[in-house]
Parts: sequence; structure tokens; C-alpha cells
Amino acid sequence: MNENRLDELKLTGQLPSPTGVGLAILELTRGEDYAMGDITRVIQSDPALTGRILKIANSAGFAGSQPVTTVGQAAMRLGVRSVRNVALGFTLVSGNRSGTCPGFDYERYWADSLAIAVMAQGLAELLHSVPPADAFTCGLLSGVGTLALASIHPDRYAQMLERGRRPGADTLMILEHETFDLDHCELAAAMLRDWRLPESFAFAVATIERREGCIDAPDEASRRMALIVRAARHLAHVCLEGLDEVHASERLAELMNELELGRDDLERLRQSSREQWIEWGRTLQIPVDVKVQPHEIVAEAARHMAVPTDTTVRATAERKGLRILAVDDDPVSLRLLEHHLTRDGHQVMRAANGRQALILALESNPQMVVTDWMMPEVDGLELCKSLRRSNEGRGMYILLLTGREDENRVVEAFDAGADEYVVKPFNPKILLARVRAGQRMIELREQVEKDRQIRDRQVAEMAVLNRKLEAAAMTDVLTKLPNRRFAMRTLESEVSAALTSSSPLSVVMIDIDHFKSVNDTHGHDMGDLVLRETANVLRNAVRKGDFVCRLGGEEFLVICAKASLAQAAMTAERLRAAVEEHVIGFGYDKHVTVSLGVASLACGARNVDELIKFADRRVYDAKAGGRNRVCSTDPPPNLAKSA
Amino acid sequence: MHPSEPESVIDAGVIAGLKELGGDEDPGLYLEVIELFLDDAAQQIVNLREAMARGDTRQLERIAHTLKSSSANVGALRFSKLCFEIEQLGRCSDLAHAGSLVERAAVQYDQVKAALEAEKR
Repeated sequence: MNENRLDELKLTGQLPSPTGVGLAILELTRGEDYAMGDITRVIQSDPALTGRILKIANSAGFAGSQPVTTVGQAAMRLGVRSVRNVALGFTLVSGNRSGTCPGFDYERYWADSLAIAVMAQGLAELLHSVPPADAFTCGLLSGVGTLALASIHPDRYAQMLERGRRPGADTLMILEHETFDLDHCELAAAMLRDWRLPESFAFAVATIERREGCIDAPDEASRRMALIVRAARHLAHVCLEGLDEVHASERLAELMNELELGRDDLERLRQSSREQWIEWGRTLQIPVDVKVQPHEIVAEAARHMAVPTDTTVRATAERKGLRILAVDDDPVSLRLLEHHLTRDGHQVMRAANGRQALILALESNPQMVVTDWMMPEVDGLELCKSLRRSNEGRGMYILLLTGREDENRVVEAFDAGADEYVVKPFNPKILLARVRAGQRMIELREQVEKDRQIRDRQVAEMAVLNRKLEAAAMTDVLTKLPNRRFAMRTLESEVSAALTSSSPLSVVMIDIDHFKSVNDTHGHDMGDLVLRETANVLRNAVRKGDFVCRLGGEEFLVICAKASLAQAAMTAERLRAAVEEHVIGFGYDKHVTVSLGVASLACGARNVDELIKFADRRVYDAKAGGRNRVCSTDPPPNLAKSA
Repeated sequence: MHPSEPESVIDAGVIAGLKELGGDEDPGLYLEVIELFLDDAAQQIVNLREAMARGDTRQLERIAHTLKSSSANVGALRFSKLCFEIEQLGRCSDLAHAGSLVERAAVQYDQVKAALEAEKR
């Protein structure tokens, strides 16, 4: 998991996180099993939260049943996990109602999240595919990545949003990648995992911006949740908030078709979610702005929709047949067996004896083998054993047909590796029922295998995300230089290495001259430009092995490992000249200059702080001496004498 | 369902069931199954006699076992019962009694064949 890396972002202290009761719930439920009593007690300590949980438990999905009046009953009805998740979601809402990002509309963010939540809940109630309370929670948190980015980097995110509003701008996702090297979807997924919300939630928020389906879902629950939340987002935007989405009606029709919902469903959903949205807005004190319903878009969508009417009773997904190898030395029985299996939708291969069956099984890899027991040469038992010894045959489901007289030998059959047996002459209905039971086992087994593969891939993806998060936590967003945290960590280890090995170590502190006046006169955009340009010049001018970092503001630090004071002073002079020569044009050409202070461990600094302090003093000297110059630490007295 | 001595050569109920089984999708199934049985059983009668000649009781038991179920599938219940008896005798290596039963089965097969050929028309 990426908790450790997410920790880097958490360290900023700006990441949205559950507070108060939410935090208590999170702590209580760190482990896999937690008692219902503990959760309900914590929730009951917060009357507002209690009310909201009861509201969810009493919502439309449970119409007609007895009203729920206690958190305990709610937990019985919804399941303790759902109650935990929804409680966590609500505490996030109450703890993050405002923030410092100027371009980010916090109220609208929560109104939008709420619209997605009620829409997702409504869809879940219609489809019966995921618990409605879970759909609500997942919808509510589906955009939490944007909230997080706005909270960690308020100014940068505001600027980015501004850029995104310009005509022809890239999508939010692309802009986020450019600016932060990660997008709100992956960040949201990482946060949800960190809060121990189900994997299906994380998958759904990670894929919410996708146009295409969810074929790579790790499991069925994730696929269903992703479908619902993705559809809910679009439905909420178009039907509740009246947002101007691209290809709104076609997209709407596409999503409804994907969910196999009809026009009546859409209409009902629009009505009920509208009421729910207003009601929840009142409960949570989030101003919701119901826009005039864009009837033409919905009507247009209805025309595109494949399912014309209400589909309250939904057929279960069409059962796909199995690839079955049928084996019998009696041609009549084999033909009849083939007939029964084929008519039940399976794809049947035939083998007239055990030897043929073994070859065919290994060649064409059927999912199931239905074989007679008594056969010449290789009998059913031998076939079982041989298949179980082979790599391909190990996972096949083997159903043995036994004569009445063999029934007391079935233990032998199971020992040989058979999964199931049917006594001959068989009742076709019973045989087919056993085959279907086997099919459930096979599909379960295949799903587990698929899950494992996807999980492996997720682990790999997570490793990449971890590296990105780690890099993001160590990188200055504006200049892409390593940031102060990186500088201090590196310096700590360099200083202790240098002190142990008695090798030299120097630093150059750099401060841009008159930077404040650039900002004041030309604005922050120009200030940013100067910072970026200067950073580039510094990056290109240092020796290989030296680290240039931005400490903050207009301050940079170069760590010159294994460099003496004199060598570092030469580096500093080279940097000074390079910055002076580089002309930054904004409106008119401007020569930016820097003042530099050089300090070395050899000058008597005993630790990082002293080293930085010495360098700072020399920057001050350089400024006092007229700027655009390098000052070095005075050598210690004994060195000065000998020099 | 298993009368001790089946009256007719071919059980009409089994034949009706076979015809029904193919239904509209596979109307030829019934004829195909009869054809499969007649071809296979003819060869198996030969094999039964050979096994008798060799005194191979194990083989006798196995062939009789297969014939027992395939003949039951086409409604040749009397024939099937004979095969069951041969299977039992084979199992306890009673060649003395098996010989006459194999010949009775061969005669019975000819009757079954005639009856099934009549059904095909």
C-alpha cells in the first residue's frame, strides 16, 4: 500500500482527513474485525451524525419496512461496514467545508458531491447491484482528490483552475498532471484506500473520468460500483446541476444503456434524486442550486436509448456455457450426453475412450470433463489421476458418471481427483443441475485467478504511484527543483558522512536580488517566471553531483558535496555570472542578478544549522556589499594566519 | 420401472422418450442413436464371443457392462437384462453359465435389430 508515501503528503498537514468522530471511527476500524457496539457508540456521541445515518437507513431503498430509529438498527439494516463508511464520509463533509484555495468553490464542490451521492444511491436502488448506502458514500467522496489538491497547493491549484477556464484549455486531468505530476483521481483512490474504504470505492473514483467501460475492474463489486458512480456523476451534472456537458444527451443514453435502464427509470431517477438532493442539502446545510431541468437533453437521450420501458425485473446476466469434454466408450450414451449438454448451452467435445480423452483434454483445455467410469484401458479413474498430475488438468472440474454398482466405490473416485459424481442411468435434469453447480465453482475459481492477476498489476501500478507521490513530496511545484524537505534531508546525510570521513562539504546560498520589487511591480506571474528561469540557469550551471534546491521564496541552496570552500566559491561565481548573462524578457528585457553566500564545514560549522547560518550571513554581506556578488565564509582564525 | 422380465423386445415408452428428446431442434437424434446402437452392438456381440473363446472374464464383464447401458438407452430392456446377467457372471468368472447367455444375447440382438429397423421406417 502507499500509506507510507501518502504519509509524505499527509505530513503537509493539508490533506483533507476525517476529524473528531470520523477519526475515532477510523482508529476503531483499523483492523479487519471490529465490534458493531463500538462503532454505534462512537456515532451516537454525535447527534447530527446519528440523524444522518438514520436518514440513510430510512431512505427509499427500504420503503415499506419498519422505520429505523437507532444507530444499532441502522447497522443491522445496512451492515456495520456500510455504516462505518457512510459515517466517515459525513465527517469529511463537516470537517472540510471551507479552505484557502482562492479559485476553488468549496460550497459548490460539496453540492456537486452530494448530487453525485444521491444519484448513485438512486441508481443502486434501481439496479440492486451494490448496497445503496455504499453507493451514496462512494459518490460523496468521488471528487475528494480535487479537494485534496486544492488544500495542499491552494495557490498553484487556483492558478491551474484559472488556466483551465481559458478557451481551448486542456482538461483538468491533463493540467493536474502537468502541474503536480498526479491527478485527482489517483490521489482520491489512494486516500480512500488509506481510510480503509472498500477497494470497489477506490476503483470507482480512480476510473470516474473514463469514457470507456470498466473491463479491467479487479472484481465484480468494483465493476458495478464504477459503473454506478461514473453514471451518477454525469446524471448529476446534467439532470440536477444543469451543467453544460459535452455530448450530454448521447453520453446519457450511452450510460443508461450500459446500465440497462429504461426511459421510465431515468424519469423516476430524475424526480427522486432531485428531492433527495434538496433534502440532503438542507440536512447538511449545503446550498444546492437546482437548475431548470434540461428536458430537451433528456428527451434527446431517451431517443438514443435501447431499452424503451421500465425494466423493474432485470434478468440475471445471460449464463454462458462451458467448454465440456464428454467421455464414454458407449457411443449411444456419449451421443445422448452430448445432446443434453449442448441443449443446456454448453460447448461439447467428445472422446470415445480414456486415452483419447486425455490427449484431447490436454490439447483443447476444457473447463469441465464429464466422464464414464468403466472404460477399456484408461478408465475414468485413471483419467482423473492423469489429469490431476498434469498442469493443464489440475484445474479442470471432473464429473464422474458411475454405475449403480460402483456407488460404494465413490470414495476412490474422489481420492483419484473427481469433483462430483452422478449415478447412471442418470436423470438428465439432475446431471445438468450438477453441471451448473460445477460451473459456479469454475467461475469462482476463474474469478479468483483473474483477481490475482489484476491485483499483481495493481501492486505494480501502486509502486509507480508511490514513487510519484514521493517525488511530489520532495519537489518544488513551480521550479521542479528539489524542495526544502529534500535539501534538509540530503544535507543531514551529507554532513554526517563528511564529518565521519573528514571529507570537505560546502554549500552556496543564493538569493535573487530585488525580487520583491519584481513581484510588486509586475505581479506574481512575472515573479513566477523569474523564479523558473533562474532555477533553469542554476540547474544548467552547477557541476554534476551538486544539488540545486529551492528552499522557498526567492532562496536557493546548492549542496556541493566533497567541495572545499575555494571550489564552492568558484562554483558560486560561475552561477552568479550565468544568472547575470541570462536575460529574462517580460515586456522589456531584464537582467536578474543574485547574491551568493558560500560556507564550508571546514569553517567550523558543526552541523547543518550552523552551516546554513554561516552561508546566510555571507548572503547578507553580499547584499550589503552592493548585490550581484559572492561572499565566502571567513576562514577560521588558524587558517587565516597560515594563508 | 424395471420389470423382472420385460414383455416386449423394445420398450415403447423409451422409444417415445427418445423421439421427444430431439424435439424440433434435432429431429434426427432418435434415428442417429438407433443407428449408433445397432452398429456398436453388432461389433460388441462379436467381441463377447471372442472374449468367451479366450476365457477372458474381465473383458466379458466390461463389454456386457457397456452393452447393458447402451441397449437400455434404446429401450431394448430384455437384451439389457441379459447383458446385466453376463456382466455378473463375468465378475465371478462363471464361464460355464456365461456361454449360453452370450448365445441368447446374440439371438436377442437379431430380434432387437428387426424391431428397431421396423421403428425406423
